[in-house]
Amino acid sequence: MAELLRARALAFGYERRALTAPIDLTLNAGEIVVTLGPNGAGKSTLFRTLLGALAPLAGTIHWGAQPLAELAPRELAARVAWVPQQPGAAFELSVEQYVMLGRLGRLALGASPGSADREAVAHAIARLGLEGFRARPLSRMSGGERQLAAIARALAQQASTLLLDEPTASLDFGNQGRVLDTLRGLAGDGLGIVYATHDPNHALRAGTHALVYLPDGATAFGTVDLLIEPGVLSRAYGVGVEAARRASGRPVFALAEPAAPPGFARAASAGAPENRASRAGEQNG
Amino acid sequence: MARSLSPPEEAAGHDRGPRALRAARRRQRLAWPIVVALLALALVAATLYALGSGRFDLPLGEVLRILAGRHEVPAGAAPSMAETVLWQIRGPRVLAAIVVGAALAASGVALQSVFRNPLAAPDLLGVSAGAALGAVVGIFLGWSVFAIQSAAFVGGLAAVALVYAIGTVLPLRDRTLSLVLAGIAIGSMLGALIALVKTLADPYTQLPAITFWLLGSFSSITVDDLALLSGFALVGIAPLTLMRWRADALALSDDEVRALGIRLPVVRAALVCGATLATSGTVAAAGIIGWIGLVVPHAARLLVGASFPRVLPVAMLMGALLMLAIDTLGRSIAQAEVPPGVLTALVGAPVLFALMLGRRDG
Repeated sequence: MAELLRARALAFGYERRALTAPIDLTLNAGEIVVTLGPNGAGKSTLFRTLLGALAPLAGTIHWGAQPLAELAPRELAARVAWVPQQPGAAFELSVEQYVMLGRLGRLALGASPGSADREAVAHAIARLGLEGFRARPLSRMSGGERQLAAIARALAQQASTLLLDEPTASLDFGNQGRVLDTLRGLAGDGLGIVYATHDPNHALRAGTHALVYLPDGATAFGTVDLLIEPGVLSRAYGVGVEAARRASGRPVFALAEPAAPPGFARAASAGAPENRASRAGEQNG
Repeated sequence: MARSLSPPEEAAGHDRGPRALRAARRRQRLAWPIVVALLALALVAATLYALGSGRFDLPLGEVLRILAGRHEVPAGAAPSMAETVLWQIRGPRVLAAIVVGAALAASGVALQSVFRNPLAAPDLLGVSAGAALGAVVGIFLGWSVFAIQSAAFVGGLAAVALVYAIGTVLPLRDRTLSLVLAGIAIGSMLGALIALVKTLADPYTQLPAITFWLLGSFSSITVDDLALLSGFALVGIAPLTLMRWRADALALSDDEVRALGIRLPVVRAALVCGATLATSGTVAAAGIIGWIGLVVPHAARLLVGASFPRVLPVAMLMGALLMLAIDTLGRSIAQAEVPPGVLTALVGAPVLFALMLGRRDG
């Protein structure tokens, strides 16, 4: 399988402070790497580093055979398309015009989009089920619909890799499932995909590998079967995680029940306000 | 393979059925060429009217005959009074108004998209004041017309660079606000420098020239001025035309633009330099004319949506039309000519309010 992305001993972060220990990451065509970790662990920062928006603190990044630093913007855009967590607010553009932005890197100076560009845009819009929204300005769409439009924009770029930062964050249950299935379909077509999510169940639904951010800057990279299990997840998030089994045998993850029933917790702290009040009274007197 | 996500029928929260959507799409596809064609027709009609109206009245038939039959004038024969008025005085003036209006509107479209800021305009970002200072210094030092034009360009570019640099350095979270503040501060500083040059200028020869020129006027435009102005405007608008598709990406974050494979600094520099060149050309030819660069792009966006390649030609046509109307009005309503800068401000401010009140979205 063609290797799309290779990061070796990669350290990334801001102001020379690495967010994690150096990581090794490989993405082949047809694979989906899911990144999971607590808020602020560095999922978005890793994406920005892989895109060259942020210089790596150490280590190497190769897109295909070429080092990231040697790729012109246009060459990089042909290799990787990015859907940020909060895609740009081009509110006044219609969906069609917005998705067309994905084609701009390929346009010759002064040229207008041609039939190949229009075809790519129409295909991307259809793949995300946005046919009915073509002429609608983004300002009149919901957050979830805009998210879909941003994914369509990345798709229209026709890069061999997609980086998606929490692509399901503002989607309803149904659209979450459909986006995940679309990602699987795209990987089936030979694309490589890296996406961040907060739901471990997504990794099982659409994911071959996982990059899990663990406490103290540790990370784990491996197959989904190996890493997406209650022990690793509990460690990553610092809360109890339980797995239930579906009829198919595949696990479903959920937060573990709270250690003590809520009623008990309330009873135990009932005396506290009185204590505080009496202390305050002493200070006033 | 293409599995449909949220088919249009279930698009909750949106009341429009598929038929209405199809109609809307058709309307949008038709609207742009129709708007361009109508505006172009209106501009031709307004040009013919403006060529005919004025102190020396020329009926439409006469205007058309002179326009069509120029080369039939026998060699050596003195041109008629009507021909002189049309070719030497009114023609250059009308064309200059058209070029200035189009150039200012195009500059506004470009600057608003580079600065991601609906308030960006040549006059608010200090381009006009910088260009004015350059030109005033040029007049003060008795330079040639071309040198004055160049000084206006350098002054405009320096002003916008300064405003942008200060606007980015200011530790405010709101970049729009910091840019506007920097623009106001630099603009008033440049105004003070212009006043300084005026006090130093010779009160009998230079000062009237500077004052008259600062007010802005098309009345003394010659064929040579028109040629120089058109040159600056063409060279300035060319990069805007080349970058018209990429300019739409500027609504996104810097990182996103780069990830699309677009060289952001190149696009930005092309748009800012083009807008500055076009604006300083107009300032050198006709003085500071405010409001067109701010208001016309908004009006154009209301008509055809926000897509830069559509807005640019529509805004240029509207700017040309508005400038021509204002100049024609200015030389017809009173015994003395009303400077165009006065009328643009009188018309521009209420139009801006009306546009903002008319906005339902955003």
